[in-house]
Amino acid sequence: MFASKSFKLFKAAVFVALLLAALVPVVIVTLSEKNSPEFVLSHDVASGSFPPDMMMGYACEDCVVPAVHGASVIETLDGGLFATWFGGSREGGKDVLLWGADFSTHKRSWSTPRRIVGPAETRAALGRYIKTVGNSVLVRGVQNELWLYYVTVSVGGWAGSSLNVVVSHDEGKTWSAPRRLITSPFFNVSTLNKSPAIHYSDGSIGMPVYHEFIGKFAELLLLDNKGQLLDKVRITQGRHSIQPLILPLDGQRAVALMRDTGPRPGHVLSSRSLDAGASWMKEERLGLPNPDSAVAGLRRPDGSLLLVFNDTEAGRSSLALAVSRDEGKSWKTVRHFEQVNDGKSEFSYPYLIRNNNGNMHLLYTWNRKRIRHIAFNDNWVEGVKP
Amino acid sequence: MNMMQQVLPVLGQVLLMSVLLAMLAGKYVQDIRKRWLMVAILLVMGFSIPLNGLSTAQWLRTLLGDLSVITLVIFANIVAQRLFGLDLLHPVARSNLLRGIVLAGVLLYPLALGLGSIDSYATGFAPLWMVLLLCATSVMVWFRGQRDLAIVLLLPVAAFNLRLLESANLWDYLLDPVLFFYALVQLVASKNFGHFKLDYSDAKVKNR
Repeated sequence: MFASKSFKLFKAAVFVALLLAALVPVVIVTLSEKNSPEFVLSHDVASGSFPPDMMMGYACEDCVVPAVHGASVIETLDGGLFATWFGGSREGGKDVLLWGADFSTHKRSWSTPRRIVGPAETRAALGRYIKTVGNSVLVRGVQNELWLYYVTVSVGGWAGSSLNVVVSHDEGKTWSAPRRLITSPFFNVSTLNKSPAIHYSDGSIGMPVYHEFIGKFAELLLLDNKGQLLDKVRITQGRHSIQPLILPLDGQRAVALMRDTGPRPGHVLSSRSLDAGASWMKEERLGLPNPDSAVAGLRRPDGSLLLVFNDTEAGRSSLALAVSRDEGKSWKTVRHFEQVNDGKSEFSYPYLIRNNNGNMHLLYTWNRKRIRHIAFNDNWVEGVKP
Repeated sequence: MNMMQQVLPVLGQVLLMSVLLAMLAGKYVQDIRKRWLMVAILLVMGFSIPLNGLSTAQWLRTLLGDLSVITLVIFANIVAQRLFGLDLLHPVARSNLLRGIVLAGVLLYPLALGLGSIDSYATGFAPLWMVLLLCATSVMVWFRGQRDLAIVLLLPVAAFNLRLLESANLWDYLLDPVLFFYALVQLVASKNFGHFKLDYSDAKVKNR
């Protein structure tokens, strides 16, 4: 129908314009790409004065809602803590919100939990139905802003999750409108986070995530310092390894430790990268038991690794701390945070960070009713008497 | 999120509703003004807020996800053809496009969902080679006379460079599960699994 000569010329002009619009930006971006960044290793910048040894408390003892789970925590600019978790009538319920609270080092107490974000504001910002919210991970940005990456579900269960992000420029008091990350080509399912992000030398971050729709495997999302997705790397494959915790060993090498959802008895799973997370070796089973539960951990400045895990074959009624001095090859259990072993109690979803002054803060779900907070230092880990 | 990233996905769902409408009403409503009216009503429905704070298009978006740029082209072609008698795409170009979509989907989805160790979706984040391949294919089909197909192949790349959708991955501009299943059904229904046609001389295409 459009056969006139002028229309053919118009079509040719459109074609050339589109060809340039397609080629030029991609070539420019490719040519301007820098060398691969390295991991940034955390180090202590001050000596610790608090806590002297070990302190136990709750990030929320009266949590406002009946059920809480999936805590994340980060050090604030004044040396305190800010934590988030999800809570409502039950896990996966439509009334579940993300809650947050501040820990004051001076008062040694947590503030009353406050609402951070929930399905309603996420739905309004994204223009789509959001049924519930789940795990969250706090990340410190290059300009000291706080990023909160959190899981939402629109349809189905956790396998249908997608990731969203909000940002705060006032240490978590107010937050931006939510934005969605597109991480999968199939209806954007299923990407969930659980463990702390890793930082790169160019300001980008690596967000350990996992997939649990059909397959169950671990992945690493690479995000720029504006929270835009740059790349995605598969850590494991198959149907048994989720919730990766990534511990950088130096600028290039890292070990990922994962929850085992495979046949019982399960073991903590491990995979290694020699190229700053760009590729990962085949997963291995460690000697540590894993009752299908999440782990937490960190690398200390002396190079030793800490791991918080449920040291049981079934159930989550014991929570232990193990140390590795050979980069995660062998582990020795040195402490217990909980050891009820009644088969009913649940101490799960640990999240461990190390502050600038060398103190460590562990948060975990306490019987799905409270968020436990335990602060400790290297002396307590090593059993050194003050 | 820019304005286009908010408007385009809703427009895509309106187009999807229009396709369903075109398939149902195309045969029965002969008056072209009534057809325009129907599309206008769908547009209003798509962008208005009738149910629980979300418009019809936003509810569809929740269920089906955002549609790719090629899906928008294919759906616009169906609506133009069925409701207004316009062919935006030559039938051979459309047939080649649907074959390409099925091929891409078969490569993309199983690997992205965890079959094997390679994630095909990751190739779409810094997609130099994908862009070069699409541009080369586009130039080739242009000189074979399939000029509308050549343009359609470049549209997703241009849209990707402008970040017209939320996604930072080129694959999401090329196809989506709705288009993949549509293309698969079309090819199966037409029983036309033959190879790609290189020119428009053979216009006997069944799967319209």
